[in-house]
Amino acid sequence: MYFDYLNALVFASVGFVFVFINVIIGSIIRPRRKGTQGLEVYECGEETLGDAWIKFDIRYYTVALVYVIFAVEIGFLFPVFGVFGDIVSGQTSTIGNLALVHVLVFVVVLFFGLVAVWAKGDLDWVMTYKAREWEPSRPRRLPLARTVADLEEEQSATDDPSGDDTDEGTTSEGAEAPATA
Amino acid sequence: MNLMALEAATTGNAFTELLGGIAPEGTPTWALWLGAAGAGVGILVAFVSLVAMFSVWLERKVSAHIQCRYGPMYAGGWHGWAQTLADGVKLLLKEDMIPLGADKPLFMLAPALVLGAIFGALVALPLAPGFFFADVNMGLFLILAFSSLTTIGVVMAGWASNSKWSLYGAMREAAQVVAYEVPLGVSLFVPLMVAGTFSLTEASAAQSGWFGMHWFIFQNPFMLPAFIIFFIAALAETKRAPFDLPEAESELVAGFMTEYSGIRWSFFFMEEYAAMFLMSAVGAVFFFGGYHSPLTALFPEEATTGLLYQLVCAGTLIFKSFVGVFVMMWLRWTLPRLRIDQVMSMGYKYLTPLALVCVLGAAIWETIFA
Repeated sequence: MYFDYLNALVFASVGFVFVFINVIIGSIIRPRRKGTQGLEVYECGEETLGDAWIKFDIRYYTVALVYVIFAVEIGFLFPVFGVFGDIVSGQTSTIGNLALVHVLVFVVVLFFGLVAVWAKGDLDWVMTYKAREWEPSRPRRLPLARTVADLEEEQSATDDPSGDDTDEGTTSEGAEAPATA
Repeated sequence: MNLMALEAATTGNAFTELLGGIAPEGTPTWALWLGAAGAGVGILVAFVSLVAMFSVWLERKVSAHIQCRYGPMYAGGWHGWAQTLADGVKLLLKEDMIPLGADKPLFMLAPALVLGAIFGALVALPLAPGFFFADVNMGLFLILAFSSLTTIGVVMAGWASNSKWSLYGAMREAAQVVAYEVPLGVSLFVPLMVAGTFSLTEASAAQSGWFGMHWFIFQNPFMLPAFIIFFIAALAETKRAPFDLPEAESELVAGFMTEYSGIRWSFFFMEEYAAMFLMSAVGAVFFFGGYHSPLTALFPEEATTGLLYQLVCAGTLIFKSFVGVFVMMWLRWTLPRLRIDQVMSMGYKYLTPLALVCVLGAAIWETIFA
């Protein structure tokens, strides 16, 4: 049996060495040209800017943690299902259908774990981190951009004498408006 | 290792028996064993290369005909059969480029790791009764373990390239595998329950007789949904469309292999096609009767040790695997690529619960009816 695993290892190392053998054969038979232009990292024809070895924002790290748990559970369940058929048919063990109860409990707990993670929202891809609403440090004296509707409103506020009675704020803003318009 | 134990271990291996028959009297065991190992290694290397070459040609032909083109037509004469061979020679003659900013050792290691992993995984696959590279009793587990090792190679390639495209590809591959290993493993519980063994040789042997009607897929109503989940997860595992986000040639130039060229690049391709074949073969062995078919059931009992039977068996399994490979290609040229968050939610929110339901149903079915 261990011989077979040794075989697997030998074949894996053959695959490993096979790559280097081919690279060496290639290096012997191919023509040689010297030059460094081709050795730049591809960036759509532009000159390469900086490294790619950056702090990468891995959005799925909670999912990866969930995966570790599930992978371990699968590792536990694989041998169980390997012998499950023999146990419930009473060939290798006397517990019989009790094995089904064990499996049901285990799988249902696993299922509820998935449901819990799902309900918590850990399986969702983090689209954006919601920034706090931006507030100016002091009140802005003038709006940066105004639409035609805004202007018309301001105009009507200044032109219409009845506007003075309704709100003080609009009149003071409206009074400043012609300076920028 | 003790030589007696070695002799005991290698009996039953087709290569050793074949060589034992033709070797001159008095050949030592270790020579026999080395000869068998050499033959096995040669056959596996040739097999993987041929499968990859044929699959590349097939992919080009299938994609061409889906798009109302002809595809390669000139190299070799008949429908461009030698196109991949010519491409291979060209790739071997290409300049070996390692970008200046790259992490050189990791960059060179990545394709070797990927190819080594897929070679190790193929060992557990029996092509015919008695024709196997290693009768691993944990075959299914070995295949899953080795095929997830390729992911490390891919992430390594992406990181070592020091290219932004490669980094994106590598991170996507990591995300994808995290999402799809779970349904892949869980969906395989169902045939495992029916087979009662991890060994692919035993699972194949258990499905003989009845003109192919002893296939595991007919044993249990939960097998078919389990197979569909397995197939989708296998698509993601082998980085095939609609889950080809790691290489996504229309958005990330070539994803994790942007910086690879020439012969090094070709090994990533070789791995991809070998992995497609392997996953289809695992599906064939654990769902569709392995090397058994109505054709092999025609052989009388006494003829089942002959060479002809073995060839028919091997042909059957290879045919079944290539049907799976063809379906993978068909899907690639039919479906658009998913977005990465869709891929993740597909893996965890749809496939995993469905696979768990399948497992529960199959366990109850096995207890009551089997």
